[in-house]
Amino acid sequence: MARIGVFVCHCGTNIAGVVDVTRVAKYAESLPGVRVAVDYKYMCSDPGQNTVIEAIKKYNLDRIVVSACSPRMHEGTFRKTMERAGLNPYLMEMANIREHVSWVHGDDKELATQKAMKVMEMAVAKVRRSEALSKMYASIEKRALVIGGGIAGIQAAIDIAGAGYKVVLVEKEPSIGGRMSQLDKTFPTLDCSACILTPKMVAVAQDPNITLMTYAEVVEVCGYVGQFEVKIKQKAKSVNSKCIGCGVCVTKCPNKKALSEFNENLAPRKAIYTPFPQAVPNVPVIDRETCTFFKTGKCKICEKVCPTGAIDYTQQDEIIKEKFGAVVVATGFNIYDHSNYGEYGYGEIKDVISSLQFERLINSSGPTDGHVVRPSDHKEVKNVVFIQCVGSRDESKHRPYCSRVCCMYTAKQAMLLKDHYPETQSYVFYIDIRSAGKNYEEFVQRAQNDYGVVYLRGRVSKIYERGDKLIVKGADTLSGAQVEVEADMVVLANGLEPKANAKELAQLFHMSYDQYGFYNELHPKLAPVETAISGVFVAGCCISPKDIPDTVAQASATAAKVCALFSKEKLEVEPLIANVNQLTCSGCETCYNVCPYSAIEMEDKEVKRGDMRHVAKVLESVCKGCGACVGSCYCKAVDLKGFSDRQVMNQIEAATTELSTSD
Amino acid sequence: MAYAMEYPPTMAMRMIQLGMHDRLMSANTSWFCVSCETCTTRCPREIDIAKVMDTLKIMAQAGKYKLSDNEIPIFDWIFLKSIELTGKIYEIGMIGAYNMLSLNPFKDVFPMGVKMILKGKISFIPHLIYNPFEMIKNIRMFKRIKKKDRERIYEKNA
Amino acid sequence: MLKVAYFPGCSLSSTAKEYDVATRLVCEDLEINLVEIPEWTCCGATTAHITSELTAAALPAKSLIWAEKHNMPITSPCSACFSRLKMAHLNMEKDAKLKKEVEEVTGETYNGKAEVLHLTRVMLEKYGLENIKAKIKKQLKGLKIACYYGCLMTRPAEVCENDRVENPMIMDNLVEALGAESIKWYYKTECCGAAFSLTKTEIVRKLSGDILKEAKACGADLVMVACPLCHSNLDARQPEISKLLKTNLNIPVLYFTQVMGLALGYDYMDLMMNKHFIDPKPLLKAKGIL
Repeated sequence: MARIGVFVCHCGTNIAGVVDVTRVAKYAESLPGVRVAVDYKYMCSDPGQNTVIEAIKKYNLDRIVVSACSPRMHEGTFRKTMERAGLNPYLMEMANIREHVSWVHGDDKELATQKAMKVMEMAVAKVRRSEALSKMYASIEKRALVIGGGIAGIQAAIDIAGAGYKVVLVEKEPSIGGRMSQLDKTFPTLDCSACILTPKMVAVAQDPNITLMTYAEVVEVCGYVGQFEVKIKQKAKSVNSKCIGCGVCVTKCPNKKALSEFNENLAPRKAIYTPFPQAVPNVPVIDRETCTFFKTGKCKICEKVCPTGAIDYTQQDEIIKEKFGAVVVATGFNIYDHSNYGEYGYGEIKDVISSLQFERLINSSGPTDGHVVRPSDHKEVKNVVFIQCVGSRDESKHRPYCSRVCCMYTAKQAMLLKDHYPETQSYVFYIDIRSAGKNYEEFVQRAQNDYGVVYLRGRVSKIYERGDKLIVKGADTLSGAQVEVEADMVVLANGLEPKANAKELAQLFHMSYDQYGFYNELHPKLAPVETAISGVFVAGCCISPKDIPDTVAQASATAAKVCALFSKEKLEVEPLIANVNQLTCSGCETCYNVCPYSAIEMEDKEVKRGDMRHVAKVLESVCKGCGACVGSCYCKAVDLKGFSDRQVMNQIEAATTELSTSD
Repeated sequence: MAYAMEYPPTMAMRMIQLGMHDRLMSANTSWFCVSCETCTTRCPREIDIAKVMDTLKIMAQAGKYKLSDNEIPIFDWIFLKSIELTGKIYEIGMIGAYNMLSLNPFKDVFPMGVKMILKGKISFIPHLIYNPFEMIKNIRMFKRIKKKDRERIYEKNA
Repeated sequence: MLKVAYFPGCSLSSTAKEYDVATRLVCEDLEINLVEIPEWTCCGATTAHITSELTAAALPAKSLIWAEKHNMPITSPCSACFSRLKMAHLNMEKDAKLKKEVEEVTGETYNGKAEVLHLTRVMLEKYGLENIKAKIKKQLKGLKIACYYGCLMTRPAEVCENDRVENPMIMDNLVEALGAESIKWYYKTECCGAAFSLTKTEIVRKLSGDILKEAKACGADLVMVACPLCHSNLDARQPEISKLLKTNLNIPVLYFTQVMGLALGYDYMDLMMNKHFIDPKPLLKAKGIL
């Protein structure tokens, strides 16, 4: 006969404020098999857990029910308590009387108490049939995959490799560096972005533990933590390993049809190209969409001029399969496309540019060698207007969130402009100023006090061309005035949004994302770099807009998590998986077809002496315990450990009978 | 039109949020709104600002507040009266009445008014509803509207 | 043969008579059958919606009900009338209580099925620009036209169902199809002062003055409009504005159906262009169109 102990938690007033916990405990005592039932203020606390352990010893209990919060909160806690008391941890059930009762039925205390009693009774009924289960272990492949070669991915790769583990860094573009490589200077120190980034890029290239795969994308993911099987598509660069990075091919290429994505479409690039001079790896790639040879079969100049014979037009895309123990996703952001804003010209006015385009103009290795000139006529600028909150804080454009970095980078851009061109006058139209980091507020004040940037609090209602000037009509709500500025150029502070294919990548991992495509963390406060998928970590702007210090911090955090994972010899796996009784299995293959994780295999086995049969087998390390097979089996040959048919039937019976006493 | 308003729309919205109705109604803000709907189109919070301005004018003309503009309410009264009696606008009558009641009898007469008459753009005879049934229906509709609007005001007051 | 219920609006029988005449001529050519709604009443224009919500919905309701009953789309050449008709329709759709009240005061029922379109939409989309091109008799070469859309034809977006609210091209496409040049300018949708024509005339002088100044600065020969109130503000008040700005603007303002009429071969008197305050004859003669 089972010897069950029931422990009812008050959870402060979280549960006790609605549910009469003493009554629940008293009701528990009346149930068959329950030897003791107590209630306590905070069951998960040290004294609370000690109460449990003492009760187990005193009453010689062999299984317990904890009526408290959700198992997602404290199942782990109480399983450890069981182990400390010397019992099997799977002989513990949690009855959720907080999230399922007190938190949702606060308006009817009597009914809530009755429901709590019933929920607890169901848990008791289940635990009566629980079996002792032993932990399982899986091996861990001590190789990490980092997706995204921006500052987040680079930092994570360096940290993980520094701990001695192997890393594969996959980047979609021909070079790593990401958005940071496009910037000129970074706030608030005004460090040159490339100067602080390139040493890290070189470190990645030279680290023997890091394998760099650029111009490559992840196309398929199978498996789970410790055993991810990933297919990576290495796109054909058309340039092989003989390349020494001399750049002659790029100089001689006659095809200038494409626009440089790195330079935000401000200048053309060749068909064979490296995105920027400090590219890592310094190996050009051929853009087969625009290359003359690939479209018409003529040209081949690059092959002719290459001193080492590194051009190979026959290269094909390759699929590379690799096993990884953990994945870090750091895919970064795109900026909002301002062609949606009719009042700013639908993106058709050439001198209304995006923030990244401004960075490329002012960057000395940009398309204009660092001269800030109007894209339309290359004239120098006198009056420049900066408009904040373009595609941010705007419900009508479905972007109600704040992009966090725009106030800071606008101030930075205005200050840099003044440094380069002391005769210019900048105007910034803002709604609020968000400068919440270290030295950030002082930075913005400097722009206003020392650099003479005029800050106007109001939105711009229209920009239009008059002759070769731009008329910017806005408001300054602090004075109540309508403001009109005759500008040479307008720079928009475009908001941040996830990359266009972020959702598809998330689906490969079964990761969840919000309505904008930003990846969801496991817990926004306490687990900001983990996801609901064990072994998959996220860092940087793919989670939400943030600045470089926060991105680097998150990247290092993911590295710490990965290293913690890899520091173990084996990974503990939940034993709550499916189990096939091969004696009763008819070999119909229904479960094999139904399993969404491909965790069932068919085998021909001699199940009894002389009895060779075609039966199903569960791959223990892959099964996630979803139970689809259990539901599909015609002959009830499959059962789920920890949720067996008998356990569940008991729960259903308990649920469908009246409360046995009502006092 | 914000340049002509005592309190530009941003301030007007804030005053409504803080319950400063009296001060707002005694200003000329809502009367300078020309209902061009530009504000509604541009608002990032998708607020129908033009409708808010309309509502301020409806509230003012419903008699709850002292009118801070005289020209437009007079014009409105004449306009609607013209529709009530003839079904359409009787321009000469309307402009004449408006000029008289706004104590500016010769406004627009020279050169625009005369030119218009000479070009045959304005007729001295009003366009009426010729079908007597329709005429009666029209007047009845106005009576019913007046009654319903009065109920609505009393509802709000209650 | 396209049949539409025609709501001319009060101005078209008096101050904007030429618009009505030109529209009817052009529609006859294009085989669009304009069926004038019998005994239509004024839509209420600006006055109704700032005085009483119920009046604003009830006045256009009569015309909407007639159009629905006769299963025709309803159109108006006047932007204000179009806006009021459409808004009454949308408000009744959104607010069931208002609809009930309107039905009570008018004594008829409305099922919300009327399709309200501005005349430009009817001609240029429902009838089709290609079909218009086929009927052109004279190309208006050398004419630089500033297309002025005004407020109520383009805003609010849900009423007008425009995808390019800030820079509409529907009339510009027409101008190009007629062989003329439609100039690029940014005051297309700025307000002319509309209903303040009689009550706050100084506002009209300023706003319309800005529009005319900009049109002239961008090199326009004439301004093309689709609303009688915009026309009267830009044309009838132009002498005052010229006096105020101390310059002789002298930009003729034509209705879009008049411009279409010229392309379809009608002449100055047919299209009643003599009724305009700023005479377009010298300009059109100089360009060889008359």
